[in-house]
Amino acid sequence: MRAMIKSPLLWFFLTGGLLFVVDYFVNNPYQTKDTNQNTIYIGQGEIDKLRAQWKAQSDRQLTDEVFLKLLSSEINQKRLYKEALQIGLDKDDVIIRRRLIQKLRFLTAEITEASEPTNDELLKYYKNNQSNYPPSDNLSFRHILIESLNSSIDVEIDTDVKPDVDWVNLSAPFMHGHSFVDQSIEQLNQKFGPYFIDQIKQLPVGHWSGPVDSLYGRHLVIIDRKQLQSEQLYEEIKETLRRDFLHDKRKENFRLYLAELKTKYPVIFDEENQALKELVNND
Amino acid sequence: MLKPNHLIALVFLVSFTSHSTEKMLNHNSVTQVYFGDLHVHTRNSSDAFIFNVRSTPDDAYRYAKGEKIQHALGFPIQSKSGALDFIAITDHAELLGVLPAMADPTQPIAQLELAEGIRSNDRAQVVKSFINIIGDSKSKGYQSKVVDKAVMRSAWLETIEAAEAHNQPGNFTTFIGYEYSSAPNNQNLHRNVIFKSAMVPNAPFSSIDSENPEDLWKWLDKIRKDGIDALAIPHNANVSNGLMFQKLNWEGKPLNKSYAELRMRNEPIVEVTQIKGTSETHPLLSPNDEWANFELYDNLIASTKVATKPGGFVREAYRHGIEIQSNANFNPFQFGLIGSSDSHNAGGSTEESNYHGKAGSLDGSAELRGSIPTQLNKRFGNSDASETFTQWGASGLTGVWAKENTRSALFEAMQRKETFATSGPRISVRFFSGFDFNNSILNDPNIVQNAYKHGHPMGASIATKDGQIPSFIIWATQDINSAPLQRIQVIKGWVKDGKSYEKVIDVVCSDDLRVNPQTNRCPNNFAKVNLENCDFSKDKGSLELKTLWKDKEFEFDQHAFYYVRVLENPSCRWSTWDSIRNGSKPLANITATVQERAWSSPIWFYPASR
Repeated sequence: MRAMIKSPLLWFFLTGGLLFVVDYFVNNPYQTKDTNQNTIYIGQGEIDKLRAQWKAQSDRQLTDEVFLKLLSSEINQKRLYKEALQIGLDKDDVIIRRRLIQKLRFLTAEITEASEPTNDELLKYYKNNQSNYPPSDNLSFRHILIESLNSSIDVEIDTDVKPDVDWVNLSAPFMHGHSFVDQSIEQLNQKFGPYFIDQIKQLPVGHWSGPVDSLYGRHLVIIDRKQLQSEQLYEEIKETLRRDFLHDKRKENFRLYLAELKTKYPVIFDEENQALKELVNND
Repeated sequence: MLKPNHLIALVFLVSFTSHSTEKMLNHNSVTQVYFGDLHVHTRNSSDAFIFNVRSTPDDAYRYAKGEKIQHALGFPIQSKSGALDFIAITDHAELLGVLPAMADPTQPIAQLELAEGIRSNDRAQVVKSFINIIGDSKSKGYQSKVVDKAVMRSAWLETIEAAEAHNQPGNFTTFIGYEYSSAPNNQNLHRNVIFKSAMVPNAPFSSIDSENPEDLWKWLDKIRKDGIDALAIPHNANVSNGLMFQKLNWEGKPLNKSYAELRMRNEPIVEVTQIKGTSETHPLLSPNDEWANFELYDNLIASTKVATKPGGFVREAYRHGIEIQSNANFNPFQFGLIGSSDSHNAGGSTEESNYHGKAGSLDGSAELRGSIPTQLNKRFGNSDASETFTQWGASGLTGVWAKENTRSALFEAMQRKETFATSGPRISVRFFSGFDFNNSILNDPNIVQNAYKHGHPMGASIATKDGQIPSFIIWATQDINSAPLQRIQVIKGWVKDGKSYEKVIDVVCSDDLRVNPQTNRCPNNFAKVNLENCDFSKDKGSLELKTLWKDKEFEFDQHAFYYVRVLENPSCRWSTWDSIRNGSKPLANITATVQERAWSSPIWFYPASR
């Protein structure tokens, strides 16, 4: 026994062991009462933040009295927050879950927000999605109704009319008028029907042609201006294209992000619900 | 083949093409028709949000421009008839934007106890919270925590910004607006307030400020003095339990001249048709009007109580108006007519074949709205769908005659009542009266210019002298995407010995049929609808109807009004379309077909001596 106590190896092990013990107590935060995690730290950063918040929300001067009240309130809020987390109030809270998901979605959006499309990218996007941006042709034309299908209206053209007189006088009355300026094809289709408008779109500009049939009867038409928007269209809708491009890019990036998360967080179904595994759409 | 006449016309035209100038003359320098919806709700209305509607004002504008947006139940909705010419978003001023704010847990208002239930996953809890919130706002007014001025102001700014962003003068007009939602004891006194320009007040005057519409009118007078021009448009007189056009004021006193002037200055037009029923007339009030039973609805607001008292219909109000005028020389009911949707889906469901209901998840499917046999036990208040949603109709639209598509031009047309209502289709209606119309005016290509020159359009009031008999130009064209026209009628009201009378007179018929002078009715044109596929007879009806009409019984010293009603051939009602899609037969207790229609604003006559 005496020999053992005198043994240098024993003392070596005891000293080493003591070091481990001391280290455990000094560096293990879960053991001490006054731990780092439960301590609320108030430094200049927190104080500046409080002052800035006040300034942003209020026009008044921040007096010392009010500041101290704000600070006490802030400290209490931090305590409540720590306690809430410690007792796990954030678990299974639908609102918190929703909010966290929302934040994450915003973050992933922010990453793509920065990458504006180049001109080439935008042009390519337009070419690939042209069907979403149909050109809206505009037409300006005048017409006269020379024969009405509605037999309850009697139409006769006064052929004694002098050439320099208003051409409208050669027409039967027409509810929607005789002259159309810069109207879109959609608007004109609603009034005349697409059959008539399709026909007159093909007429040459600048002289009276016809007759052209419509639901109302027969017309003579003069196209004053045709605006086929296809070439102009790209420039006009560039802003819309940019917005749609970014929207699609964000969607695609989010889809890729979800795909990454899919490999990171695989899903397992219990035995009874194995069939669902094949049916679930993970996108 | 060109006829000789046509050839001559062509030669003349070609010969003076070289004379025509570069500048394109707009031969439509008088008025043209513009169609729009002045009553649309978005998620900022609490009774839209509560039914899962999440569409914003921006979405509503896109729908109005003919684009696709999403219904609350997740499917796309889009108008088949293309873009409207104008629109007003009229979210309820009371609690404007409050419910969306409550659903956002980061907002201070979301911390209220009353707000918690709104975020629940339990439908019943959500509805219960909603009822509590409404109750709190009604009982405490501005003292209620849910009536959060900051939240409402933010939503009002959003409304204004969206309207400004989408307004394109000459092309597409947006009006800034809101709904004043007074309904004492569930009796509807709602009005939509429309602002003429971007000059608008900081906050709308709502029923929290006062439930008395006379206070709304006084407020409108006051802001007009500050340069803010606006008008109010009442709707759903059919569910006002007689209050909308009662012959007493708010305090129960008889109406007087200053009341009439106050009312007419601020409410020149009335919305006569929308999804919650049509308020033109009722079979009990107009037993000789075979078409008086169009899309009737009589449940008071959010209740199952049925409206019973007089004062709920437009024709009856017109009659009371001229009675009062003949007695006391003022008329408090001399308003024009418009139609709207009242959609809470941010887009009007005005096409029978494309009906998506009124309010999100409440009636967004055939099953939910009770048009097909269902196992669902849907309760709305204490009734089920068959007592409410099946009675709702795919109405309506406003037609305006204006010089151009701008806020000022359209607003001024509304002020002078040169407007008409339709039950959804874009039927165009012209209605003029004058003493000097040439007999050949119907064939005159300048008919409209001459009509304005020698007569007055719809909405006008005309003084008459002994010996003067007016004639009426009555002209309508169908919506080429809807059914052909069947007939045009004139509805006349007049006063004799202090009492008013009414008469419905067919004035022109389709298919070359002639009005029977004894019965004042067109013969039946036997237009049919196939209830298995909703095809209607292609060979019946007219694209266009027109006549120059004189009233054989006109008496110059009688106060009278005349307005025009245009009827289409019958077509399928939305409920029949639902049944067809479902593969089931239309339910027996629901009308299978409707005759879509248009109503002009009246023209009034009074003896010049008064």
